[in-house]
Formats: sequence, C-alpha cells, structure tokens
Amino acid sequence: MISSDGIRGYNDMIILFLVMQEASYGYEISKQIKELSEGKYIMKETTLYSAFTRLEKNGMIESFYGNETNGKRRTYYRITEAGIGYYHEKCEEWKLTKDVVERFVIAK
Amino acid sequence: MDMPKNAGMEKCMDTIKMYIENLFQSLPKTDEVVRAKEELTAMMEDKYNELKIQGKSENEAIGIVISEFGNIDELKEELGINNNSTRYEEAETDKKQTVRSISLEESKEFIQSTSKFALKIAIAVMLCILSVVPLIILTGLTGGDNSIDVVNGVMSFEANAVPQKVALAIGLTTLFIFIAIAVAIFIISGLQYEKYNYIKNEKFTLDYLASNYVTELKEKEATAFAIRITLGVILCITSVIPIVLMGTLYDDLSDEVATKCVGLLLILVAIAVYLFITAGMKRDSYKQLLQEEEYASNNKNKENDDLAGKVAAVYWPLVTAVYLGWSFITMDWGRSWIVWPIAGVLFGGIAAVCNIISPGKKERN
Repeated sequence: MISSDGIRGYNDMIILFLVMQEASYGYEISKQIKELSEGKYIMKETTLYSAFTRLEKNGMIESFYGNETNGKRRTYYRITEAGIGYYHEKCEEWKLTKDVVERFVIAK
Repeated sequence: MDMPKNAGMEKCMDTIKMYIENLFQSLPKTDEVVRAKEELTAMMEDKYNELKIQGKSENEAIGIVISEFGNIDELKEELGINNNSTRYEEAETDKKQTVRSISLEESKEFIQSTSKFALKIAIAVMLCILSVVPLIILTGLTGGDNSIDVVNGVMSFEANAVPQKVALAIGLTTLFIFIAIAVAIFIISGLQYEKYNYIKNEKFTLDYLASNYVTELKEKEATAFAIRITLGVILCITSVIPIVLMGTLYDDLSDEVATKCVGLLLILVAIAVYLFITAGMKRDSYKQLLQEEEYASNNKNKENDDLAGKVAAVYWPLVTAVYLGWSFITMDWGRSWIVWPIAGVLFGGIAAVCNIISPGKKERN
C-alpha cells in the first residue's frame, strides 16, 4: 500500500495530469486514478476534494457546472495555463526526487 | 422496472447522506463547508452507483464507498477550520468516544455466538422437560389396567407389566442423568457466553456498516421468526389433544394410556420450547445490538432492579424442596411431578406481578 505521506506531494500533479487531458468531474477523476494506477493507488474522497479546493484557490484549475440529464448539477474542473506550468514543474521535481532516492536504494 | 431500483437506491443514498451529515455536524456552516458537503456527497453517490452497476450488492457498495472516503481532518485543514476553536465540541466527542463502538465483525460474531448458545440452552431445557418422561411412562406401565386405588392404597399388577421397582429405578436414573447433562450445558455455555455480557450491561454504539447489516437481517428474518413462534404455539396447543381425547372417549382411563399421553404432551411441549428459545434468542440478539425496546441505552445505567430474579432465587429451591419432600415421603413419584408444571405457571404469574411492582420503583428515579 502506498503511504499517503509518500505520495502527498504529488496528489496535485496527478489531478492536473488528468484534467489536462480532458475536463472532468469528481468521481470520474477518482476512477481514472484508480484505473491508471492499476488499482495500486486509490485517492480518498476527502484527499481529492481537498486537492480540488487547493488547486482552485491557487488558480491551477477552474470549476464550472455541467448540464446533467437528471437535473443534478455536476462540478467539472478544467486546467488553466498556470496549472499546466505547475504540472511541468512537478514533473521535473519528481525526476529529481527519483534520481536522488534511487541512489540510496539497495539494488536487488 | 425503474421504480424498485430507485427505491433501493433512495435508502442507500440516505445512508450516505446520514454519514456525511454526521461527519459535518461539528463544522461551522460556512459557504465553503456547505459546498464541500455537496461535492463529497455527489462523489460518493457517483461511486456508489458505479459499484452497483458493476454488480456489487448494496451493502458491499456502501461499505466500499465509506471505507474509501477518507478523513474529515484533511478537509478541515483545507477549509481553514482550526481545531482550537472547537475545543468544546472535542470535549463532547471525547465523552462520546468513551462509549465503545461495535464493528460489523463484532456484530456478526455476537450473532453467531448467540445462535450457538441459544441452541445449547434450548437443548438443555428440552432435556429438563424430557427428563421426567421416562419416569412417567414407566410408572404408567407398572399399573397395568387398574388405576391406583387411593382409598385402599393398593396398586394391582398385571403379570406382564413392568415391576414397580425397576420402573422407578430406570425412570429416576434417566431423570437425574438428563438433568445432570442439562445443568452441565447451562454452566459451560453460560461461562462461554459471559464475554458478551457487555452488550446487555454497557452502553455502546454500532458503526454504520454494522447498524445497516443488523437492521436488514432483523427485517429479513422477521417472517421466519413468526413462523417458528407460531409452530411452537401450535405444538403446545396440540400437545393436550391426546390426553383430552383419551379422557373424553374413555371413562375409565388406564394409567398406561394416561401416562403415555402425558409423555407425548411433554415431548411436544419440549419441541415447542426449543423453537421458542432458538427463535427468541436470535431475535433478542438483534434487538440487543440495535438497543431497541427493553435493551434501550437509557435503561442500562439502572441498578439491577430485578425483583423477579430475587423472588425466583427463593421460589425455586422451595419448590424443589416441596417436590423432593412429597415424593420421598409418599413415594408417589408418579404423581408428585405435577408440582413442576404448577410451579412453573404459578411463577409466571409471580414474575408478572414483580414486573408491575419494580418498574414503579424505577420511575420514581
């Protein structure tokens, strides 16, 4: 099981990746995270929502309401320019982190 | 075809809504919090629907949705709600936290253990009831065709009837063996079941999954319970048919036939009691977990005002003494057993009176 401490720094980036491909809504994003990680990472609802709130406050994503057939309004999120920039920064950061940590891993 | 599905989903949406309500209870009702609540509810409902489409049962789906929900504290940080301002609420929840929470696993374990316990107790009680049957039937077989002539104190024997001493010997031995086994079962299973006393005596809460599970189970088994009780009652009523029939058809009822009818009556009553005990205890286990009716939480802090229990502690040894005294003095074991059914029914009345008296005491508090 992934420790939430380990992946915490990258939750935002994971979400940005997904909304970068296509604007999407809460559960759909949660589902895609589970599918793309092949079940190895399930982001909790609270974590997900906290991230949405944070990203929106910082201007990385923006929300809009979609029209649903059954009358319920659904909140959709799409990425902003700032978001794209932040995403690439995080990718670089991860490559660096990975490089450093690998040096301390005992190769089998 | 849409209606039933939606009705089922309504109930589960309510469970999810209740869960979220509860989590958000202590939070201030700012716009942000309200929005968070709506979004999270929507996300959970979407997830639930998808799980149902994938073929999961309602309980499974709710279980998964709740277990993957996460921690409300994360949300608090993000929404800028700091914990210092809610010190009062924390004191409240601390008080609540000293109340034990019972999980789904514990509930299932309790229900299963209770079923097994009920089975053992039912069998032990059956043994108690059936313990007199051999004695009764055998003493009936000793009398031959003539009833006991009370005036002359004479019993006449038929040549091929069972000798009286043998009948008594076998009858009494089986009686005491049955009772010994029954008591052993009472003691051993009672000790094993003691660990669940907290459910009757202490306050606790059920977690969401457990609560749902037990409520559903109780509803599902309501019919089965009713059937068992009805069967038991029917058996009790039909158990008197043999002896009443024989009594009305034959003016001069021989001991042999009478005792066989009584034996049959006791056997049928024993089966009925088995049904009552097993069905009743099972349903009681659900009621105890859900803390309904007589097991309600607010009754639990009362001291054990069990007047009926105290009276029983005096009553039954007295009855036993009377039975033994009468039997040994008159050696009329074939008749003295009647003490038991009379004492039993009489005690029913006494217990009812006790319950009228003691609740009066509780209400004054």
